[in-house]
Amino acid sequence: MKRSLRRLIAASVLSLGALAQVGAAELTAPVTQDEVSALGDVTLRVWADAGEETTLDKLIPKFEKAYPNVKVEVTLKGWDDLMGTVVNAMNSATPPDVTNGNQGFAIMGTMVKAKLIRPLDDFISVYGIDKGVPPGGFASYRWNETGTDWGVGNIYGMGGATQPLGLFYNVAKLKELGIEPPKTIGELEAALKKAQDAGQLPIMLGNASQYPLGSHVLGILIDMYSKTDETNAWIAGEKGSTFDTAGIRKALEMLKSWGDLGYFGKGYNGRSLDDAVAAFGKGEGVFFLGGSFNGAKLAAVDPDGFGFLLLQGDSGSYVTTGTFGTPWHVSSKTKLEPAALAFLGMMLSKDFAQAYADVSRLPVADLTDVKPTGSMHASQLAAARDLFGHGDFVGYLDWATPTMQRTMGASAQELLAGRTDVDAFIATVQADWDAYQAERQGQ
Amino acid sequence: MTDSPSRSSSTNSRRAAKRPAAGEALSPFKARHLLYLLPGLAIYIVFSIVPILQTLEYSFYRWDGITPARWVGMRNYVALLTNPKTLSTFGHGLVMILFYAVLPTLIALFIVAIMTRVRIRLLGFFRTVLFLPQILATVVVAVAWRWIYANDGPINGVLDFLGLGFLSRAWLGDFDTALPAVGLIGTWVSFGLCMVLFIGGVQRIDRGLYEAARLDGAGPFREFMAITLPSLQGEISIALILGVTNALRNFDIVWNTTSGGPGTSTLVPSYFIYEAAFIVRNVGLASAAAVLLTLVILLMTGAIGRTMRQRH
Repeated sequence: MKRSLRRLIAASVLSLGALAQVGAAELTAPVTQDEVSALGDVTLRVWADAGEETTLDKLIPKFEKAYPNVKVEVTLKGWDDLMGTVVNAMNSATPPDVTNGNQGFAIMGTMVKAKLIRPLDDFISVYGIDKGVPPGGFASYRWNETGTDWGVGNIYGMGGATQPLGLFYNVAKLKELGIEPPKTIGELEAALKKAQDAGQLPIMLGNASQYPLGSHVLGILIDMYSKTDETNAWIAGEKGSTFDTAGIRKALEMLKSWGDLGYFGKGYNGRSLDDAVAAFGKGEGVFFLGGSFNGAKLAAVDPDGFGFLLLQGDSGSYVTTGTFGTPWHVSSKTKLEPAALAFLGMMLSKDFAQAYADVSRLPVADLTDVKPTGSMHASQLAAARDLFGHGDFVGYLDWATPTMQRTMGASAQELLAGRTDVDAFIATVQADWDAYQAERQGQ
Repeated sequence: MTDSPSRSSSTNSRRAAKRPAAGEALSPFKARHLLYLLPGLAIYIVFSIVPILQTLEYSFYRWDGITPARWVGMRNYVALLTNPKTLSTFGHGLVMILFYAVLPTLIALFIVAIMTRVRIRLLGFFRTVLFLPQILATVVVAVAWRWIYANDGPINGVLDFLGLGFLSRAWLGDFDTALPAVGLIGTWVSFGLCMVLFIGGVQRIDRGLYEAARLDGAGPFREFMAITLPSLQGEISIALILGVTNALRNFDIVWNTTSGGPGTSTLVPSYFIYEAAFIVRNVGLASAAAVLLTLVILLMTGAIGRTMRQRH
């Protein structure tokens, strides 16, 4: 009797184990309503960047209606705060089931290495998320299993809205100055000069937190003159890569000359990015260089007052820094995997794309059929379509090492202040890269 | 200060005189009496001592905070002490001492010196106003000053009005002015505390001493040096110790104004430690910097306490 009881317990433990195994196994079909209902009344915990708030406000009621046994609890965090806490939170005994993260070694690399997040390849193919999008867009989410090599291996995250770096312009001012929206870097330079000659501030910049001058503005210029593969290889830390290329040199010289010519105006290091976007919205400055995500704020001011474009490289194709957006991850420790995947499935579906578009974002799932909020959003959608259709994605330069944001941000300020030169800039950046790669390989 | 030790010793003796009566009720020392210390000690150990020791331990490892750590010996310390960037970061911390400790103390002493000569009406009101920066949230302080220092802010407005427009700049965004600009915010925040400390100290001084000095023909300067300054020694040492500690652990003002920029011109040790631990995820290096910072603070506050005591 006793023995049979023990055997029974052993058997049920085994079968429970098998069940757990099934839970962790690959998806072969989208999560069903029954699988989610089987969880009972549960709370799905989600950590998100504050920029996702308006989108989540639309998603959550929809999700809770479709899966009435799941309550979604969102923790919104400012970007810096999220970056400082997300890895430790995911490592805790009670991690959020779903979270935003960021590409690069410091956040995503660490989480993959510590096996804190679930690979999403099966989810992406089962839900058809990879249909109709350029495969290259997934590169920045790929890691080998040990979290040491980047750009290859499984996909560990997926974003909902693409965020290419581009050029915002003030429609009325361009008209007033008699300038056509520039298509190439040469046309942009001519436009900047014309704007300055007319007494306008050519580029609105708010760089108080050492960003976006050294990362986004420089990134856009580097995209113009460098080979995409070279830049991406450098960012991914491939052996033998270097920052000292003719293209990067040319980009730095151009950035320096823009500073010397006063294209960024005065006091940009004392102005915050938010203030700069607000000032640009109020009509200060002809151009604004930065991420498409700044567009939502501009569209809120005047949906038709601004335009957005990507510049074409020498090859004629659109080259820009961008991906499928800030990644979403599923915790590898979650006990609510079906709910977590259903949540992301709904968020990243074509059906939900319009909700992104309604807040002037650029849904990866559908860039063609969504209705724009105005002409600026329409131009952003067109730019994103160009990029998806026949363009090249480049990673963000500051992903290259955990310290790169500071190194490039500080060096860019020093370059424009005449405290360092192009050679020293390149040497400083490459030294940071070399030190980190040695460290990484040593570990 | 001269009368306070005697006063306290007299209370001591009074207490001592009462003691025999109460002493009979006091049982001799027993080991179980230490149990009363346990709850407090446990909290102190768990939340202070252990983390300090852990920080010391981490400082000898290369660790990302998550995956297994690797022993690297003194490498983190060597890296900190040989890197010009981190050394300049600690240098900025020392500059902050000037703004957080020295300047506020001097300003407060100056005002207190005037107060001992001139009767100030509405003292309570001024004391509250001057103390206000201390109780404001630093984020509020930082945002307000960001506006004051901005390219189109009031400082530049005044300069333009005075025809000094060529001096105007984004004060927090300029390599030459960012560090002093951040420092002066600290001065503004700190000097109210010094004021309140010193006012309290001055009110305790026997007015008869001033009358005696005046009868002997002492001028305001002599009076200050002979009476006010020596009497305030205890308060000054407290003000300096608090100021130095606040200066070296300054984080929030920098975080909310310059993020350490432009370049690395306002990067201070606490900010560096935060960035290394949570953004760069090099917990070992951050711990080593924290250990060094703690040592610097202990050395400096120890030195202040010692000098003040000796002079006393």
